[in-house]
Amino acid sequence: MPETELERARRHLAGRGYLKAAPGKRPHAPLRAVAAVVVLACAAAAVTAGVLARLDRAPAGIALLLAVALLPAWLAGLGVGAWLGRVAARTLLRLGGSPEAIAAALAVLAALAVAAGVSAPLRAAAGNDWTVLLRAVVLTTALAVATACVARKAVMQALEYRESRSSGHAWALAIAVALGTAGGLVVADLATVRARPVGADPVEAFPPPVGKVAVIAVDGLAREDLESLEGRDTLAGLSAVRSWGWAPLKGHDTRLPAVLWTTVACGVEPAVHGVEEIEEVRLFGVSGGLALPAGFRRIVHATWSPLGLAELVARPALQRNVPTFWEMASRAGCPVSVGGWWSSWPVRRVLGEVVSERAWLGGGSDADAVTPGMAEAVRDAWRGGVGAVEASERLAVAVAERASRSPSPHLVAVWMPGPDLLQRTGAASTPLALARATIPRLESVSSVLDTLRRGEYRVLLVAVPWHGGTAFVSASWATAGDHAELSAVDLAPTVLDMLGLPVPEEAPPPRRDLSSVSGRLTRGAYGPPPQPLAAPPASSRAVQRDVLRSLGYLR
Amino acid sequence: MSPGKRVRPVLALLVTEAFGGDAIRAADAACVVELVHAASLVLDDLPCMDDADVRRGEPTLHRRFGEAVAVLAAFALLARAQVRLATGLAAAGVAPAYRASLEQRLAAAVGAMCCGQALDLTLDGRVADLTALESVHARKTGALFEVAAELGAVLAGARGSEMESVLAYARNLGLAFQVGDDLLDVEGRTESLGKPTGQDLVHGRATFVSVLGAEGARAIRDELIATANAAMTPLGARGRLLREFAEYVRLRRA
Repeated sequence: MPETELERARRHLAGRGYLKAAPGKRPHAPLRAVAAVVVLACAAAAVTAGVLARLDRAPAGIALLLAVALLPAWLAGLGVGAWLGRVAARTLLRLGGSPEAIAAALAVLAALAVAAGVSAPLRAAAGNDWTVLLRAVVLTTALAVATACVARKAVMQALEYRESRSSGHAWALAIAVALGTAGGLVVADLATVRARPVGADPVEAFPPPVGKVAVIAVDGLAREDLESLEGRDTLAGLSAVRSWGWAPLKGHDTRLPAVLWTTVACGVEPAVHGVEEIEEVRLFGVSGGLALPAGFRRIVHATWSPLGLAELVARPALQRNVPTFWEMASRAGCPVSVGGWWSSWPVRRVLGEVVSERAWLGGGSDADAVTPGMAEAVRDAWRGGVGAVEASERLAVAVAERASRSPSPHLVAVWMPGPDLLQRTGAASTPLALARATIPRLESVSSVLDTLRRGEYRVLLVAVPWHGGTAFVSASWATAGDHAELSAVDLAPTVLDMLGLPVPEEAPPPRRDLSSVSGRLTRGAYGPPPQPLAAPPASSRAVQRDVLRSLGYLR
Repeated sequence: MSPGKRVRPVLALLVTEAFGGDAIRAADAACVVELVHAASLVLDDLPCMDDADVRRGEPTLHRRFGEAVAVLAAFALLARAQVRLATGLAAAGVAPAYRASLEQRLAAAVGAMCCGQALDLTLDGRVADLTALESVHARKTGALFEVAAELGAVLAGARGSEMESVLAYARNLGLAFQVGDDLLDVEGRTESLGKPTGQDLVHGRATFVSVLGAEGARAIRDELIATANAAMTPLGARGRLLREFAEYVRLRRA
């Protein structure tokens, strides 16, 4: 017998499962279970991160970091789920259930749980875009199939129930195909993320602006509140609003002022202008942040912030996709003056002066927070240790007075959050105290209105109540009485139309019943938002987040 | 039934004991395995197959009672095994789903034995290689060894990883047993075997000895036995009887 013949026999038999103390070299069952949980968690984290990054148009690098950040949460969730499943399977077996039925039921439960987790960030976005919906369905299905396969096998193993061997490859193939589909889709999806859409090229020449328009946004004021203001001299300006033409403002969630006021300023829906969050997560010290849905934000922050590897910061409106009405007016050669309007931070290159919400609410006077000419006014407003309520009112008055004294700003946009902030911050503990504290806030609004009217501005007052009451728009030049309700996106085109400027192609038609403008409506393109004067440093983002939190905008 | 070695039922009982089970609980399962084995022997001995005259020192069934009775007896044995398995597992308190699984596995083993025998018949008079031989005996012998061990393990409540060990033991022991059979046909004595020796050579059957030579077959058998013993290592002292049983298979002369 030649030695080589025996060796060949050994090799052959070893290949057929003999001459091995344990068949194959499969890892021990608990290790296999851990490996399955890890693989599934990696896949789920990758899919979730890919989807979230896609929704926020973040680059692939940020998606990768987010996948790492989400991994512990998925590992914990799946690990606990696996343990609970094991306990449940054994209990059900003791109660007389059939192993196959138990495995099938628990597999379906596991698949549903993972599908719910993976599809959570997609639910909000799916309605806007059928391609997003399609991705959601495919990704969720793929992960759910893989989870069901793994869970079923795991339960069968936990019950020490051996299946016919031929089915093993089919399950493995199903898992591989499902995970491959999900992974491939995420990679393809991230690879095709485009930079934020750029608006059409602006038209070459704009007509000169006609007249002067001021838009005053007030948070915390209802139409019904105006009825109780009569007879107070200090509130005469605001009381006069009752006689203006007005329309109820409907159809928009007023709970997050940043989103509402950006929608008002841009004249397009939040999904189009892109400002839907005022807070973002910065992971592992990387400069780029990511806006996440509240649940994911909390999970990531709770997991990594104890290690100092995740930070919640304010989200500047760098990701805003379309220009605001003052930026459009500026591009058309119309001087503007802007005070505190949401999404004005970071300050962008416009014709005129801007005090961003960071200066308005937090006193920032750096290049990203305010145009140079207004930096001194910001410092003055914040002198004396006043709070955001008083400082923002001082600034509103300063902006109004500067505008009314100067012939140049054809458009003034001021946000006055005083009445709302009183309630957000709980500064007044009883209803009577709140009423007393509200009067000075309304006097400031009234003063600003008076000042702007004296400066010959046609004024649009947009007010949103804290809760209850009617959100409304009043126009000083509109026919007295109530008008048909309007949407937040109607205001920007109306303002541009009042100035005699073209209305953007994507915006709805202006409400001429509120502006009393006649003549032919012109449409035009304004291009993308102008470039910021300066990038907001990480420190200012963190400070601004603290400010927003202290004022009740963030919890 | 005439006296035989009862290797398969003994395997089932020893496995049950090794895993801390009561061998009495496994008695029905052991009988089932032996009934199936007996049926396979009756069929194997038929003139249309191996055409054997003597089995366990006595005339084969078809020689004594005729082919028709032999075929019917084989079917009866298989049916008896099926009934005994169902009643035995139920009496031992095995859950219905597991009973169904074990019944399926026994049926699959019977199918594998038929398949192995069919393959074996195609090899008659032909030069076979190790692949063909292993393929035949994994089915003819190995399948029933594995079921015997599995039945014993399930009845003792063995865990999944322990089950893997015992199956590895049974798989290697089954093939070692067959290699030993081939060696005994060359080296054994008719009196102790209960059947004429040298029949494989006479009929030109392919065996491990014809493929590997006696020395090679002996080496492979010993390695298979060693592997079977190694598979019992996780059981520690509880695996002692199974290791001794493997040694018996290695040294057997009958």
